Amino acid sequence: MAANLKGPVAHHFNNLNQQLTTVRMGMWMFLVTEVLFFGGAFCAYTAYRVWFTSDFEAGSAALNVGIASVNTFLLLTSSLTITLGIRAAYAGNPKGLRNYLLATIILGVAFLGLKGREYQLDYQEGLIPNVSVLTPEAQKVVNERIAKDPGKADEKVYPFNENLAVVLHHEKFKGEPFVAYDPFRVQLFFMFYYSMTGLHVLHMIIGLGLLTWQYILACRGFFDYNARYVYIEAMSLYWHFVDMAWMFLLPLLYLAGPHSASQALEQFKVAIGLASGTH
Amino acid sequence: MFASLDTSGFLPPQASEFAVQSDMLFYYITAVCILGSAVVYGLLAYCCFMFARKEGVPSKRILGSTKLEFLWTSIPLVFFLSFFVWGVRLYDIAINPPPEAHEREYFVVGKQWMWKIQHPTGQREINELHLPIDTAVKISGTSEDVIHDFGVPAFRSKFDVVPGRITSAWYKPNKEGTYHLFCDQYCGQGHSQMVGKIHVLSQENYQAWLDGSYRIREGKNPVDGSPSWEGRKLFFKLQCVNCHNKESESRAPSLEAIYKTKRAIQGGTTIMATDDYLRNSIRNPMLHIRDGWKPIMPAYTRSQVTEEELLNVISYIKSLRPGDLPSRTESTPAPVGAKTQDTQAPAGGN
Amino acid sequence: MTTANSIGTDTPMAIPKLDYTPQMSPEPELTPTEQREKPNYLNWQYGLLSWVLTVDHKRIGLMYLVSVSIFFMFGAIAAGLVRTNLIMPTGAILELDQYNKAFTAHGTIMLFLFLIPVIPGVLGNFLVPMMVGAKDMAFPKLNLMSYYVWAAGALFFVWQLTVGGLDTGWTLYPPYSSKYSHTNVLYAGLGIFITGFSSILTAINIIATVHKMRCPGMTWGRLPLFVWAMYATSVIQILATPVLAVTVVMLAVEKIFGVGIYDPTIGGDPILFQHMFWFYSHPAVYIMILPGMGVINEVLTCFSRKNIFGYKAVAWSSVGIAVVGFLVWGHHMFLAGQGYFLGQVFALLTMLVAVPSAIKVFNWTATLYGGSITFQAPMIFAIGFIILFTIGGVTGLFLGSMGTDIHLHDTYFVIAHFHYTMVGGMMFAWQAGLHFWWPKMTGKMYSDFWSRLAAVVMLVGFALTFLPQFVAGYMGMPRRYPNYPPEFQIYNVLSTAAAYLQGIGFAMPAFYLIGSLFFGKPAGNNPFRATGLEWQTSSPPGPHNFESLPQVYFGPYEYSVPDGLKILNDGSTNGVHSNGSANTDKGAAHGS
Repeated sequence: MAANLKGPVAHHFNNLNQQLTTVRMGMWMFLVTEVLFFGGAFCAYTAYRVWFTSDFEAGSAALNVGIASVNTFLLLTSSLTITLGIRAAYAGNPKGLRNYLLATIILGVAFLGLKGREYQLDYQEGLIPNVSVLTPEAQKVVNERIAKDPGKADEKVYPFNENLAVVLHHEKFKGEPFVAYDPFRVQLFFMFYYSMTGLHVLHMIIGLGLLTWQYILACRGFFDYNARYVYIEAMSLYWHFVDMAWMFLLPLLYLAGPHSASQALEQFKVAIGLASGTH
Repeated sequence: MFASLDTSGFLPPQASEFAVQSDMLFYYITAVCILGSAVVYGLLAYCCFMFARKEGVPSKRILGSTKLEFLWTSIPLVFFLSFFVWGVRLYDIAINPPPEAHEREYFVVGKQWMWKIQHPTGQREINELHLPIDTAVKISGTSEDVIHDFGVPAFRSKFDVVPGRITSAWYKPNKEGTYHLFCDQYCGQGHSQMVGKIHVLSQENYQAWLDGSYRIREGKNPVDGSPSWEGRKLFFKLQCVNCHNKESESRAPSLEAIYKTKRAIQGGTTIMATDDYLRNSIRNPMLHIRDGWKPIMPAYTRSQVTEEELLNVISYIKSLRPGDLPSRTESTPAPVGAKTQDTQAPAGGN
Repeated sequence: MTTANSIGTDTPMAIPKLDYTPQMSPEPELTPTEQREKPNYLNWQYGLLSWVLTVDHKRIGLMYLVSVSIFFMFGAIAAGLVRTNLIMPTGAILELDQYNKAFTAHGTIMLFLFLIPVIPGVLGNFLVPMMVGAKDMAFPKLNLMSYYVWAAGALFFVWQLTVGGLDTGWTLYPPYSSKYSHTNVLYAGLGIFITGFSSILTAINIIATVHKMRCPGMTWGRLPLFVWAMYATSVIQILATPVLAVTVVMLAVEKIFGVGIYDPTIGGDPILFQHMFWFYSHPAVYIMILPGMGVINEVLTCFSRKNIFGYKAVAWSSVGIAVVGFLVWGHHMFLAGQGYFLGQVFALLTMLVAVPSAIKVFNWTATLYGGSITFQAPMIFAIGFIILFTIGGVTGLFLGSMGTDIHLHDTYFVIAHFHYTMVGGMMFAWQAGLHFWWPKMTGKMYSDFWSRLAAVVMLVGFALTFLPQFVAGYMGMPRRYPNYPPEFQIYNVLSTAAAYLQGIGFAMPAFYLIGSLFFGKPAGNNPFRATGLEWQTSSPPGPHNFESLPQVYFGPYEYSVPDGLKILNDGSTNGVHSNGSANTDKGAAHGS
């Protein structure tokens, strides 16, 4: 494989093959650390998921699985495009490489866009613990409750808990009301949701930055030496890892609670403005 | 002030049975380690003297010896495993109170930066604990804020008190005296101020200390100001009695005589009803749902019942013998000191 | 990169007679003229930018040396404050809050800014490429970035300590750190998080270098044991450090958003923090000690002129410690409420992880047997290491055996134990390594007398500082106490007095080492006549380490085989196995 590869060798390496294998190994070692990093968060999440199953199911039901599904498709496709980019670089096809890098970037940006929309919807629904205030709809519910029983006027109102009740009311699965849950434990679920997806978003932003840099280099002819395909390969390893992390986040967070396909479609339509919903 | 404290030499006083047992393991490990270190140091000194550089004497070429490697792997391993086995057995003793200790359970709540201790007979102390000699006692505790640790070097015992759960230890003091109580988990500014005294008294002196505030328990309700008495009041105030009462067998499981029995849980498992189980059943009832019952019990948060109050409720539940569960229409228990049998109406009426 | 074998002389060089066998042919000593003309890594480029933007692993190693030493000083000052305060049972010089900040500063600085980076950053960076026969690390630019990340994190962290302090102890246990502390937990945590990245990047570099950049003939079985130790350390670093990072992130989220995974008031679990924290922090102590053990191998063999006893055993015990070290974290939590059965598992594994360390100690002592020993400073430090680490190691057994841990947990016994292993062990190994490779790094030799004196002063001062603490701990004195009952005073006073002596000992090398830069004699290529690859080239080394690609025929530590060069040149084996791999020959000396 190394027979028809051409490229400059850095000063501290003895030959091209040593350089290529070392670059690959470096990236794999780095990914090991990333696995442990996300793994720590996953372990903590799993512990609580086991202890507070029904509360975490309730929390998951409040998430936008429609956006998550489309995002999964986008991210998987972007992994395909960057892999095709490796092949293009190896085969000495600079135009193909540029196109594939660009496609990966666009798909990644689309993912982030939808994710941002998802966070915006979460904010509108008032589902940020200790930060959100009561949504208008939740305020109505609280007022009704106080009107029915004036003795409750002095009770402390937790905005997140009220907002969550409103959201879950809409998320009835097959018409069943949601099982008993402790809203404080759902706050814990949401804390995990924001942290873990937030970390993932951070990794994606860094990845997109690196991809953009590689795209610029490609435009400048950096990858005309086809031995430099190894840097595209290293990038793709990182990108696949980000993809893999998402493939774990999706079932852990989004699929913990009951969802249906029609519900997902409805949520997605609302997200991109094709439908107005109570969300 | 500390002149009365019983300290001597290089070891803290051995004031409990467990202290004696703990020290024995300590001596054993010390002996083995001194032996092992002596071998190493002896060899080291020998080599440094015998093989200091001498003109014209070259070094030997020795690459290793599988036999020696095996020897000094297996011998330490055997000794280390003996430490493990003995250590586990010692730990086992430390965490399993004898049956009589369950009858005498003291409660401690740690908070920044003091210890609040409650006797089974109701008396309370701050930063001090009086114990009778030659009596096995159990001590259970929790924290109101951060993690503390209730440590008594003379008993060779300590346990972390953690907010959100109950942990426990037990002692059988066997030597009169006054001993240190330390907080042994860093908890902030006053960590070193959170110290106190454990007083071990003879049986007569302990009774004398208790006199004047000693309570007698008669009838099926505690009337003596003890934790159970406080717990019974809460049992009504918090509306536990609405479901857990003598009349209703279908709304909630009976709470009589359940402590330290196996409870069948939904999902096919069984679980032992420990203090922690009782606590979780109140704080987080969805965690373990009794087989055959609907999951309708609400969770009681800290704003509704504090940790101290929760200890009292649990104490009450543990005191329930068959037939003791109150009726839904009963209300306040008799005041402290009243010698009532419960066939009479409690003072104050229904 | 030149491939010539000589440096431009035409006359064939006379083959010097050596009474040992280096791993490769040594490069010739330079005459003073040649030294002036031929640049080394220190003087071939001048100017601030050539240092600030260097990718030379040797220069980066020196940068670490300077920075780490400065932070060590801060940590030592904090220790001085702590010990001085403890002279009086009511606290001599500090208020309660100040004391808490002082011991936290001491712990965090010493661990994160000294013990973890020192040997990997200084000696690892400087020596690993040379020991494997490479021109530089696998990723030189990453190496530089690793240094800046560390320096930035360290500066930020120390700044946080000065502006607000941190009073949670280095262990940061919630709920105290998340809800009750009034100090800069968040930003201090960020500092630690940043320095963790540096740990990871250095580790990636070392692993890739050892795997991919070994010169021809340098098989795994011929690697110096320092490289094995650094490799094992790097594996621990990449696996453990990210877990600390995510733990600190979760703590930060808890503090910022007020929901928490560790907050028991809403169902969180403070014990979860302890599990996640110790999952890193126990392997972290192996990150600290393994490189030190690696150094000891190099120093003991050189100064006793003997091969290491049981190369394979020592190499594999490093790996064994790294692996089993990940499985024992719960022994910090026997009393925390983690559960009885789980505690038993951890106790058993703790006893198992003690075995490789014991093997090493026996192997080192056996290495001295039949040797030809001299006692320069590196050797005094190394022997001191064996003495002190043995005490540190055996006292760990008391703590790992669950039953005795009940009494000893969170007392001064624990403090004495870990100081014996970390200072008596790691710090002494660092001093041994610093003194051993100082002539190589700087080309200058330091005063033999002052260095030996400093070693003895450190040894005595250190041992006396912490021996009374074992007693105080067993008597029951808890840790992290600014005030204590008066019966413990005698132990504290003894400990503090010895601590001052120890401080003097630690300060001494600064003087004679820095002094050697100006007044020291030129060291020559190989002043200690060692066998490693790094010693066969000039001191200080040239910019690309070796004149030509090294070719290795022998294992390390062939000190007792004379006429090595003759073997190399006439192809005879002279009784030495020319494959050089670590074999399990018993006993007898071979050849002449």
